[in-house]
Amino acid sequence: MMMGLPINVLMAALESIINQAHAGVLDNPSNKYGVKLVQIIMPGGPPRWMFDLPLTPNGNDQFMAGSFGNALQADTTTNVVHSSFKSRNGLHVPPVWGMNLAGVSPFQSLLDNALFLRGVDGEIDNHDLNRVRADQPVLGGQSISGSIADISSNPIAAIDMLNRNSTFISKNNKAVSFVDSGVNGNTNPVSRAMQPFTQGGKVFYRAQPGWNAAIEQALDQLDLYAKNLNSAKSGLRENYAAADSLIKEGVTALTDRWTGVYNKYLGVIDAALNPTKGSLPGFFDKVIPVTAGDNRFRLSDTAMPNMTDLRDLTSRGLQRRGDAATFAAAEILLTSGAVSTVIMGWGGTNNIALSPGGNTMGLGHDQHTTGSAAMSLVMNLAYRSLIASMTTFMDASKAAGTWNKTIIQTGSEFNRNPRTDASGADHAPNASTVSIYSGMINGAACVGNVVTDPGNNNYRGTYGVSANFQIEGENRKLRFNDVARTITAMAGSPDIVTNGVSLMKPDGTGGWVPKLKVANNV
Amino acid sequence: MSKSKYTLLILPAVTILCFQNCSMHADNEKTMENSVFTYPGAQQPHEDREHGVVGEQAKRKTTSQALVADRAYVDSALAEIFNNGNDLNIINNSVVNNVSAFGTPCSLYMDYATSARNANGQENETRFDSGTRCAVDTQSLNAPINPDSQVTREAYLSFTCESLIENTAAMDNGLRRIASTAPAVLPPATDANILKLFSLFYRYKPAPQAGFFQAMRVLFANSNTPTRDEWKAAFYTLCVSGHWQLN
Repeated sequence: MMMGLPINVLMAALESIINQAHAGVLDNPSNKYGVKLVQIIMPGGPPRWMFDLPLTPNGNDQFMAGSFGNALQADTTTNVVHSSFKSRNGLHVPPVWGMNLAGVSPFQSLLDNALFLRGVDGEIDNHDLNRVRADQPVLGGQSISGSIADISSNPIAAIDMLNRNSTFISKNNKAVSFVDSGVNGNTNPVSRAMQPFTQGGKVFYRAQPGWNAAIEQALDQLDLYAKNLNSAKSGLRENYAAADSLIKEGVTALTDRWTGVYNKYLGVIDAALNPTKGSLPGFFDKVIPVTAGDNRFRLSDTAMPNMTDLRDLTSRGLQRRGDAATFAAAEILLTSGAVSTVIMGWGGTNNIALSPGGNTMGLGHDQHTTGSAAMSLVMNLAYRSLIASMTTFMDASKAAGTWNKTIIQTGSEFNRNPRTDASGADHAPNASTVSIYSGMINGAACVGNVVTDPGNNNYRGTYGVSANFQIEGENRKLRFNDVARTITAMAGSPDIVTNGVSLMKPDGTGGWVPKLKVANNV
Repeated sequence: MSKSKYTLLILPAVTILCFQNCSMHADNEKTMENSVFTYPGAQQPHEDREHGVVGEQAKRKTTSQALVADRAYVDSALAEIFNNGNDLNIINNSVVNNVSAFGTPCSLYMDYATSARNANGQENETRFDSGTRCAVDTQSLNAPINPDSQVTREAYLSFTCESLIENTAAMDNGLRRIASTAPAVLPPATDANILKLFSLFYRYKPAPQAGFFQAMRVLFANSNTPTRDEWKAAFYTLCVSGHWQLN
């Protein structure tokens, strides 16, 4: 051995002190219980009025049915458009919120901590740019995800599982770690995210306390040297210590959780997407025969064949393995304290395989056939799976004690306007919606005025087009800047916009409530 | 004497008075040098405007943070120490291609390589080797321009250092930078050789304090007959120390 016994004993004692100082990077309270953000970005323009855009939030709002699949209203479509489910505190929300799932907490529990910001004017009609603006309200400027990462001390500032032109921008130059694109059941994004800490630590002196202690002593001297030279960098040694600690501790405890957590979400999503026919009261609970060529039943760009019952579309079993993977990764990485911010996608109807007439067909992501009964059926089930996944995530976050500091933000490229005959609805950037779920929010709330009738013959009806209202002295529409300022205010992170207002305020009990209780159809 | 002639005489005098405190003083330089290169108790650095009439209360406090080097610097520094032509992949995989951790967006020109000179001594046309040095994609284009220290970056650096010292050829090359007889005859762990090692990473920086040499000597059981493992630990220590990455 390189040293005599007394030095070894001394070094072992020193090592013990160092280990105590560095122990539990993940369990460090500021890492584990600090503010967390989950950004769920939906591809394309999914019809948000089936999910988080309450069209009649007060229950008695003026409502024009317009083009919501008029021909099918008697059987189906009315049920999936009106805000027919009433939350515990009286907010009327789309009926999917009442489609609970066995084994998952009632969706009402997520509604207890929900804010729906409707009638947000997206201003730009562009897939990529609008998706970016959900995170970066000013294109090229700071991002919400970066702002929250900036106040975090987590070993990994941010993870991007969306991987489509990352929107993460940090003022403090924090880095975002990319997890391979195409996250699915065959990849383990947790393992990929933790790779920096799992590939090293194999050298001989890791196992010998004396070597480690000696290296630490030399590093202390180099710290002193740099400080005296006025060229030290605050946080550098601490970051090395945290990295070293994670490497030594091993992070297999996180990667080993993958299979169980992934299977949990897969089970939830499978069950949500594939209900027994007629098991959801008021929702497609009748046989719906399909006549070939009838555009009211069109799905994607392909006309439907003759079907005895539209609901047989799902007979092959709908699956969203990618969604299960991203939610599982978010749960493990956020509740463990490894990561502060997760940017993730949600598949929606993208790549869902359907089997009309026994023939399997894929369903695109863009929902250009919004308004058809077929799309209403599939989209509602997809949203049911999203709510079930978020509720499952919330339950895990509550169990870990992190829900009170966790914010889920949902966004998409725009909303979509509906058409009667399903011949192809269009983008609705002026009817965008953002919903926020967090243990910080007390109760369910909806903020934002929308137009009762947009006055467009192609797209008549109330579907969320933004309208002016008084926002702290200004008569205007909601904008993404307001959304950003609301989230950063709740998070206590730096502002990323120079205008816009927070729509929430502290309620004096540690929670947040709406500053403006305005949600009218005008 | 005309008015313009008075001006010609007065102007240089005023200029000297105004800017005398900005001129290069040998004493000031020494003072600054002392404050930087000596340790607690030495005179602190001060600004020119603090000379003379400006009191302690009026001193303006400024703070600054050193910039953390980007992947290009880390790449070239490590390659110069360890690279013998065969080990580039270690640095490439962990540092050069790790744009989000080590920063600076990719330049399209990083992927261009110049082929060997032709028979006439002219360089052949440059060719594009997509992804060989830096994949030009959205991730890399969004990489931070001024990278900062991150836990993940330090983990990657630690792994890079570990991989380099565990690579026989790379470690041999590093040892040769200490003594040309290495690796056949390992250099003794004298203060002079430890200073050589230090200077490989901390380029053009003044020698460290005595405490550093004392701490480094703990790594060696016998300074006169060091083992390869002991030198590996010494290289690893300097490599992961981080401050060498600061500009």
